[in-house]
Amino acid sequence: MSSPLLSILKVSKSFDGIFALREVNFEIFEGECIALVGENGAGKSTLMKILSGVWPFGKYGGEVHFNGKKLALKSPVEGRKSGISIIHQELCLFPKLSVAENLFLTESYPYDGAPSDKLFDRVRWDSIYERAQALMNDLGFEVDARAKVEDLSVAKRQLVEIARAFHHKARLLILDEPTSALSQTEVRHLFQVIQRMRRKMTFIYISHKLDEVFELADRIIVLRDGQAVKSLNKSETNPDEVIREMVGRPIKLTERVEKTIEGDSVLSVKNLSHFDPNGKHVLNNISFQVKAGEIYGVSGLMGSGRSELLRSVLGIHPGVRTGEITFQGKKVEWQSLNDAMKDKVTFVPEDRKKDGLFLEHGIDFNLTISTLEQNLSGVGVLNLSQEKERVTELIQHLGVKCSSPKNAVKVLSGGNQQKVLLGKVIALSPKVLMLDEPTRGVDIGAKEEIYEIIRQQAARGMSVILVSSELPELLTLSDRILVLREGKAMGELVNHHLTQEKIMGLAAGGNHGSFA
Amino acid sequence: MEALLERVRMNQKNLKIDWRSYRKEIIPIAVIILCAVVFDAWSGGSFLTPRNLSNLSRQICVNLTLAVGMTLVILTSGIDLSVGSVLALSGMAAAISQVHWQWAQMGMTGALLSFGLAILVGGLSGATTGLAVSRLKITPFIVSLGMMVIARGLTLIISSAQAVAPLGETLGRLSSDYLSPESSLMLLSLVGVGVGMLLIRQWLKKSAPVSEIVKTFLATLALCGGGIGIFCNYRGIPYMVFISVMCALSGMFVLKYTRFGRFIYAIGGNREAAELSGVPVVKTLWFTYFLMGALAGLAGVMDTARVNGAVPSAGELGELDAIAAVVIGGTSLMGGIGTIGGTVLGVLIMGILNNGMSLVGVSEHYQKVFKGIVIILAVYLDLRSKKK
Repeated sequence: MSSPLLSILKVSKSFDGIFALREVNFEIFEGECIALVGENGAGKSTLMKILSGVWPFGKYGGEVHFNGKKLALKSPVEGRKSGISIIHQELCLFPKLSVAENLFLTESYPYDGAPSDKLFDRVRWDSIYERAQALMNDLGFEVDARAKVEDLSVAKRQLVEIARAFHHKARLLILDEPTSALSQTEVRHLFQVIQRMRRKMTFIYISHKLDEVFELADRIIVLRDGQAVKSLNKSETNPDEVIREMVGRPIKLTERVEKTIEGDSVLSVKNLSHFDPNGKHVLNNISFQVKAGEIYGVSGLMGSGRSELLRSVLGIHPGVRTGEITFQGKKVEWQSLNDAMKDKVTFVPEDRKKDGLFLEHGIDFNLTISTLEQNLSGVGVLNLSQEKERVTELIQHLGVKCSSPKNAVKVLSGGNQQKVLLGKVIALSPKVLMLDEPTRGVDIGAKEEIYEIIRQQAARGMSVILVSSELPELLTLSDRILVLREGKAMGELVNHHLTQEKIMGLAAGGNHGSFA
Repeated sequence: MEALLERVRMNQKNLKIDWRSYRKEIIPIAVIILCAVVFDAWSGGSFLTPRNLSNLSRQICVNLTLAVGMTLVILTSGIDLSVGSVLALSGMAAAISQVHWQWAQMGMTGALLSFGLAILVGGLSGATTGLAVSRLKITPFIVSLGMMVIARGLTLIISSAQAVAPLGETLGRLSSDYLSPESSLMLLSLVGVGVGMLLIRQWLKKSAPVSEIVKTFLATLALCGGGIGIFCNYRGIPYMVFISVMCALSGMFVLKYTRFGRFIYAIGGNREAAELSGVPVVKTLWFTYFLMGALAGLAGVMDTARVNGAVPSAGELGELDAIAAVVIGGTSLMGGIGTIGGTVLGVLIMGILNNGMSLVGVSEHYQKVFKGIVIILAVYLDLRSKKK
């Protein structure tokens, strides 16, 4: 091997003085398949954003050389032309358009067979479909070029993206967690595609799943706390070493204190099934009970229905639900979160920016919006000084770091934003708290604080239903764990000598390997 | 006493001026002062007279009333294009009740009934719009566009496309009468002293940020001082001004001190999050549009009283004046951000431009062009200040 295809030279990137990447160095050679691994927040996505031009040249320190030349991208558009393509977890396709249109949309339409840049040249639809189908066939992808993207499965959509990258003459293709929403057969198929395409492209494969990494990659590069700590040849390493390098320190998260929950069942769900408006069976005959003071974990891969379960119980998931929900011995039919909150059942959604927070408004506004009736004085008028006291108290209790309660929530860090969300629902003193991914994008320190808040609330008798994609989180917090796969309950495990492998085995179907 | 003085001293130390917190108000106030000076010089000193300013205050009443409601609607990230037509419909209803149903002969009772009828008609229109927006979840732009045409059509139907006039004497007096200068002086001084005392209490107890106290103080000073200067030198406070200022003050109170107000900000700030925070989104939206309609009804009866009769074309483009005032006042069309205080400044700017340009003899056609430019400029400035 001669000169490297991609060299990352002392690349650094900081946000408000906090380093996301610190002098990262590594090289990738033509024809390699590299796995890039690291915990959340290790800097993988920042690195991808630099390579794709989202963070333009000049906004980061260091240099990137690609194909022997210095890479100085000004925008993502330039990034796409540079020969580096990225396939994100959230696919970047136009769902309402056909496969062929998606393939050719971002460049010029072919005109009489050849691409044309003129704005008003007539589009030859037949030629577009023909060319698209030919491209798919060449690559051996079984995808109909005339099909609408929204009608395709996630796996097929990925193939469309790969084909598009190939069509754009990408020499380096980066796949970001491509298998998180795929079934086992689809994963096998994707791997075959990658193996076949390796003659034409160089791959960087980003994944949490070490078994996949070991199957595909020639070399494994480990990122930790914004630094490239190790480059390991597959033949000379093993999963344990990789995990050690990724974590880098003994995992500090406090051990779970084993406890048996004796209380009565507070919330009981019986034979819950849910069809979404497209008629898809998202939840299939699920039953479980949550006791007072219990932390009840829900696990499953992406698309297993774990978030939908919470939303369905709360009556805020679109579609039709059947089954019986009993809360404190009474049958309930919540239609909105407002109904559920009247029974003191609350919910912290997964996407805090979209569904949870009022970003432009202050911490105080966000903390009190659900509990305004607690500081009404006299005839329905808000008592602002009482509200201020309550807010100050909550901010202290939660340990939100801010200079004033009036600070807009958008300037807070992810961890502090999450604390504000938790504070808002805790102010209600709920009986049941449903959490969907409570520590996504939260750094380790704040994570530990959030765990402590959750444990405290449970110790006071509140029941918590915890949906999380992070197995260590489930294992450190939950008393019992329900595992879902494709909308079905695969089992309910008591958290006693429970391992990640056991959960993954149920969630992925078959005995499936480690999960970092 | 010692302790009190000590607290005052402590507070004085904290009274450093942070210009950033006044940024939003400084530009419109500067524009107002600039316009006033320019128009006064241009018109040879006839702009800044108590008489003209009193007239100006009566001219902006209708728009202020509409703009207060429009602020609430826009804060929810909605829009109501129907207010001009609803104004016409409810004003026409009031006029018909006075003239054709002969409520004019019932004196005060008749006037009050017509007054109530207009608000009821406006409220019903608003409630209908609100229902479609909140429960059926149709885009506010489309619903209110439909309601705009419907209300205008109904106005033409019930009036047979004819002007209806004259009103009874009592209702007409709503527009032409004034609180006596003596009672105006008393009212304004009382309000000024009362607010002043409240502010001192807030300052000592530190229950509100300093910048907010300063703002309220300056606003009260301008309102009461200006009011005394203008109205006590010319006939007193017009009834209409009193009513519309009460609307604005109630609007401010509702936004700051009630759950309904918070809910409005929450819905405009992030509707998904509002729903998942247990905010009664449907009810709040519905009530907001209902209020907007009722205020349009009130504006309708005020407008009818002003011209002592109703014409089917009343309030044409009234919605645009109201929206312009709200936007010039710094309320974001995306919702969630803005205040009635800003809207009042916006109404003043629009009013000064209208009055001043007419005073110096700019033709009405040119006025339209100029107003359009001002609106676009205001939104552009707002956008730019947000980017920084």
